[in-house]
Amino acid sequence: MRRVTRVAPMLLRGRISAGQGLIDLMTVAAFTVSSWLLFTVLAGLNVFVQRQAAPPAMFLAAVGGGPVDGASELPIWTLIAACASVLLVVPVLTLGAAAARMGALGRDRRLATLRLLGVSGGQVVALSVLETVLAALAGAVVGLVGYLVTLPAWAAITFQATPLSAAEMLLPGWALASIVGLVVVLAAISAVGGLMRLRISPLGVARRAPRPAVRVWRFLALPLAVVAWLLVAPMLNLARAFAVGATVVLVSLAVFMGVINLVGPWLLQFMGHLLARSGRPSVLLAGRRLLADPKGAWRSVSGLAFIGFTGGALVTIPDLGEGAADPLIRILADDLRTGTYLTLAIAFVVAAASTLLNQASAVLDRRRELQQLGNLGVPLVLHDRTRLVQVVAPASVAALGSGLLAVFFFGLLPKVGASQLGVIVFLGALVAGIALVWAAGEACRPLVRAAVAGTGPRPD
Amino acid sequence: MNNIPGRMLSARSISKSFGDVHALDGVSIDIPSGQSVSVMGPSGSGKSTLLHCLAGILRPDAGDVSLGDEPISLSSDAARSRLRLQHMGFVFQDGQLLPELPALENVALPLLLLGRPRAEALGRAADWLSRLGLAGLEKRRPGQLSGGQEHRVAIARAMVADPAVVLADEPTGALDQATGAEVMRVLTAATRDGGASLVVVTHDAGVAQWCERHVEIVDGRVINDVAARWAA
Repeated sequence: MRRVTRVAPMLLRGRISAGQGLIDLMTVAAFTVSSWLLFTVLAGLNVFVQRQAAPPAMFLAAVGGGPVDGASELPIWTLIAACASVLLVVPVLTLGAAAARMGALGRDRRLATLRLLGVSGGQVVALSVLETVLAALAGAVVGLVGYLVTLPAWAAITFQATPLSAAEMLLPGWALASIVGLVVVLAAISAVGGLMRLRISPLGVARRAPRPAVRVWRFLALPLAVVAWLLVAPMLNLARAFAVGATVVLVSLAVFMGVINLVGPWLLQFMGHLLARSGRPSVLLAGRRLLADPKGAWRSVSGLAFIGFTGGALVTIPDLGEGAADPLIRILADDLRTGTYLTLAIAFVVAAASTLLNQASAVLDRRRELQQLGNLGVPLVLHDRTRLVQVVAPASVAALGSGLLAVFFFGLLPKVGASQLGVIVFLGALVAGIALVWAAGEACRPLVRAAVAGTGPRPD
Repeated sequence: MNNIPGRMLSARSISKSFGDVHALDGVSIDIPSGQSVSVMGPSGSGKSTLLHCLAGILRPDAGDVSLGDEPISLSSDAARSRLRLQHMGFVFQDGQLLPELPALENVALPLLLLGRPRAEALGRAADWLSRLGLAGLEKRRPGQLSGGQEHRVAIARAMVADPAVVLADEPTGALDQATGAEVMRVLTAATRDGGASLVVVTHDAGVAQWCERHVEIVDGRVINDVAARWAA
C-alpha cells in the first residue's frame, strides 16, 4: 500500500500542472458549497434549540401583551426549523455525494490503467478514496472558513422578533469538527460506491460494466409510505403530546425524503423507456441516456425535487398574521415567510450546484462519445436539443412529483390548510427551479463544443 | 531481473464464456521465453479474451494459465495484480498512458510501484526513452506527442521493469500503416533485446508478420499454430 500512496503526490501534481484540475476544482468547490450549507443549516437549527432553552428578551417583550405565554410556544419554531433542516440536509448531503462521485469519475481512466499495470483492486480503491477524502477535507475546511466569515451577515435576518447574532449562529467546536468528519466519511463512502465497477476489471473504461436496471421495488416504497402516513397522520396530536408528535413528524419527513430518492430513479427510468420509443433522434438519445444511468440522471435533478417538496409544503401552510391581533401569531407568520424564502434560497443554491456539477461531469464523461459523434458529422444542435429533453423532462417530473407528495404529506398534518400565497410561491418556485436547471445545463454548452471540437486527427 | 530464462507462459485447455457467448473453448498454448507470437482471428473470435486470460486480467472458467511455476488462473486478484506488475508489460491500442503525467514519469511508474527509488526509476525511464528514439521528449505529456510517439512511450513503459512477457492488444490499431510498421519494429526489437516473450493480438497480417510464430483463433478455438516462414 505504501508503494501506491507513494505515487499519489506525483499523480496529483501531474493533474494540476497538466491543466486537468478542472474536475478536482469543481469537486472541491462542490464540497465547499455543501459543507458551508451544512454548517449554516445546522447552526440555524441550533439557534432555535438555544432560544427554546433561554427565550430572547426581545421576543418575550414583543409577545408580552398577547393572550398566551410566548415562551411555551417556542417549540413550534424549533419543530418548523427541524423540518426545514431535514428538507435541506438530504439534498446538501446528496450534493456532497455527487461531488465524490465526480472526483472518482475524473480518475477512473487513470485508475483502470494502474490496475492494468498491476495495482490491485483494493489498492486502487484506497488510492482513489484517499484523493476524494483530501478533496472533501479541503472543501469542508474552505466551507468552514466561508461559514465563519459570513456569520456577522446573519444579523440582517430576524426570527422571533430578535435579530440573529454571530454568537448564536456559531456552533460549538465539537459540532464543527463532527460536521467536517461527516462530510469526509460520506465522501469516502460515495467514492467507494462510484468505483465499484472499476474493481471488476483492469480494463475498466474499455470494458465498462453496464449499470443494472433500477428495480421496481423502489416504486413500491411510494404506496407503502403513502398508506403508512394515511394511518399515522390522523393519530397525531401536537397540542396534547408535542414531543412525541414532533418526533413522528420529523421521522416521517425523513422517510418521505428517502422515498423520493428511492422512487425518483425508477420514475426516470420509466420515462426513459417512453422517450426511447420516439423517432426523433434528440428524444431517442435523451431516453437512452436516462435508461443508461437513471440514478445519475436523478442526482442531476434531485436538488429540484427538494425545491418542489419545499414549495409543496408552503401550499399547506395557512395565511397567518395578516391583521391578526395576537402578536405571537404575527411574529410566527413573519418568521414562516422569512424561513420559507431562506429555505428556498438555499434549495436553489443546492439545485444549481447539483445540476452544474452533474451536467459538467456528464459532458466530461461522454467526451469521447461526443468527439466520435462530431466525426460522424452530427450537428451541434442535436446535442443542445438532447440536453434540453434530458434535463428539463426529468426536472419537471422531479419538481412536480415531489411538490404533490409534499402537499399530501403536510396536508394531513393537523391545524393546516391551503394558502393562496403558498400556491403562488409553489408555482413560482417550480418555474424558477426548472428554468435554473435548464440554465445550468446550457452553461455546459461551451464544454460540449470544446469536446466536439477536439475531434481532429492527431498529427503524426 | 524478472526475466528468468525458461519462464514459459502456458495456457492449458482454457475456456471462457460471457453469458451465452463462448469466447474461448479449450484453448492450449505454450509460449517459450523470448518467443514472439501473433494471435490472429476475425472480430469476436476470442483473441483479446485469450490475451486477457494470459495476463490474469480475466480468470478462465476452466483450464489453467501459468507463468513458469506460478499459477495465474488460480491466484487471487491481488496475486495476479502483483504478477502483472513484476513480470508483465502491456501495450494497448490507445496506449493506456496517464494523460496527466509527462512521458518520463509514465515510463517510470511501474518501477515506482515496485518500490524502486525515484532517482533510479527516472534514470531507467530516461534510458528507455532514449533507446526508443524519444530523447528530448521526456517532459511532454501524451496529448503533446504524436500517436507513434505515444506508442513508443507505452513500449518503454512495458519494458522498463524487465518483464518476462509483453502483451500487446492491437498495438497499431489506431495508427497509419507506416507508423504501425515502425511501432512493430521497435516493439519486436525491444522485446528481443530484453529477452522477453511477446504476444501480439491483431487482425492485421502485416502486423503479425513481425512475429516468429502465428496462432489463428476462430470461434474460441486454435485452428492454426505455425512458425513464420522467415523464422523457420
